[in-house]
Amino acid sequence: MSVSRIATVDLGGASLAADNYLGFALYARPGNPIWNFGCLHRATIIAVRDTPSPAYKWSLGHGIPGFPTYPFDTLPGVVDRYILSMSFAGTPAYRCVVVQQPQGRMILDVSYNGTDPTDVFREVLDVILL
Amino acid sequence: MRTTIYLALLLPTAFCAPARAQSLPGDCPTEPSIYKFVDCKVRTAIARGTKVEGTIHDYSKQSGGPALADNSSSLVDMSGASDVASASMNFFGLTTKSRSSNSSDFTTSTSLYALYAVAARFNPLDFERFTDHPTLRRLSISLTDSFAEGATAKASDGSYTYGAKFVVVNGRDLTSGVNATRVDQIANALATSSIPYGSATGEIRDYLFIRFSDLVVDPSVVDSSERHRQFVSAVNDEREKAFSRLLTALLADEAAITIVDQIINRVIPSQLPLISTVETNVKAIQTAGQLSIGFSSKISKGTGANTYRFEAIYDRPPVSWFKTTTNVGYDFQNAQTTSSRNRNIARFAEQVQIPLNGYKSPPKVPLKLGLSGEGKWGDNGGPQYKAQCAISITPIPGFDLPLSVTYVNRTSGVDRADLKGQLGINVDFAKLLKRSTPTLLGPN
Repeated sequence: MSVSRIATVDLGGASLAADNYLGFALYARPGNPIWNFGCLHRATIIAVRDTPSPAYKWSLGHGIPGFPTYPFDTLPGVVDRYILSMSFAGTPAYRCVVVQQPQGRMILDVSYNGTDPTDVFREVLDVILL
Repeated sequence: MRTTIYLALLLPTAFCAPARAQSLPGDCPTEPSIYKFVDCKVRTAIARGTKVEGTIHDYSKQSGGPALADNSSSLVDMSGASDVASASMNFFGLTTKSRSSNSSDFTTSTSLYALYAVAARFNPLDFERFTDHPTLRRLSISLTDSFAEGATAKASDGSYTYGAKFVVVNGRDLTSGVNATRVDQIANALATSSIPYGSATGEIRDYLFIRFSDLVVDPSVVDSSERHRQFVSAVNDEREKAFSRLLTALLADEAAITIVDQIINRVIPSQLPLISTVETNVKAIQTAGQLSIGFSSKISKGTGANTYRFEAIYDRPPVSWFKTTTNVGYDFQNAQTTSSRNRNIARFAEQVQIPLNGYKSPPKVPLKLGLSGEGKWGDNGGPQYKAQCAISITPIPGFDLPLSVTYVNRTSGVDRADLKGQLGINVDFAKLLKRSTPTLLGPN
């Protein structure tokens, strides 16, 4: 893999209290980003192709007004594994930011730079509800 | 105990992997993070059973002047042009003496999109604007000013060359509708392979945490959740040395590496379709043909003939590292004096380009070899044949230095052969400003 993964923040997962939720932002460089977001129980929560945008935002748990919201689907105490898959065929770089709300705690801030259009990167984030 | 459970769970599925595509204990001994380690293991295993393509370079965006210009460093026009703007300079002082036109050429070219960006006052490299206007990026125009140089040169010996080019068929643009099916195939393969892959990555990470967390996390941290978070953060990060230490221990532990290989082998069947789909489609897009139509006119500053060129330009890399460009067209030479005659000329030119380095990974300073030939046949004059060998050096993306030697069997009006060497300077501002890595964005 020729993708470089540069982590500014990586807390290695998220532990969420009952009123917590996660805000996601995926930024892409110009082009045609192809990416997928899913978890162990839902292979595809979001799939993006042919909808170029500089930023995609969504939340898990409670909603952020104006952005798509998806519920957690595990019981408290059970780890769910979320996977963000990015293809570099149409764009050379992504940046993923995950923030625990309402605390505003940064969980993940990682930049990915691909050097080959055949590159694919899968970021794995473990989330547990307390 | 946990090792035994893992073995019991994994052994039955390990046999699902293809016989040749197997992960072996010695694979990937120096990967800096768990992500690169898992990816390397999967790709190495799959590569045992399949052929993996090398990288290719971006070739067909013309940053040099039109082939029609007096002192052009190229015999052919390319099918693409800069997405924003380009400039090229061919100095008389960097050209060997010859009977061909002795001039310094300065060319600027720009896309309709860049002109629109100037008029609408936005940054042409702004993400949404750039992707919103693929059609405007297909049309480019150029202007070349040729100054006659040399001891006996007169200003009227120079010329202006105007050019316009439109990309008619652009099979190498991922945003083009013709590639919608390929994009769908990549996206679908990505979706179906992600969960097994991510699950395996997490599983390996969990297993390594159980076996080797003391190598990575300070033993004074006793809370298991906190230990796990610190462990994951450390082994994810390719800049830290944590995973390298862990990997050394893992490779020395036969039972542990066996379990990791079994997890890898279990995930290989789900990754084979992704890797083959991405490589097949990327290769198909990279090697798709691109067709342009072009018009250029060379207007003499004095009483020399004016030339008008209509051409079709087609390029296609039959394989990803070997690119061909074909020009087929018609030149009309309009005489400006009573002592000379008009000419109708059929023109055919062909160029092949081969990278001289960077077959395994993108080179820091790409070198490419170009071999070209041009034939012109018309009335009121004999046929003219040219052959050219050129080496192009790209010290930074968007900045090319073409060094060429051109042989011609006869120059205009003189039935004698000629040989000319020259060094040019070509700048593509879109590439220079974006400094982008190779993608399938826009006409390549």
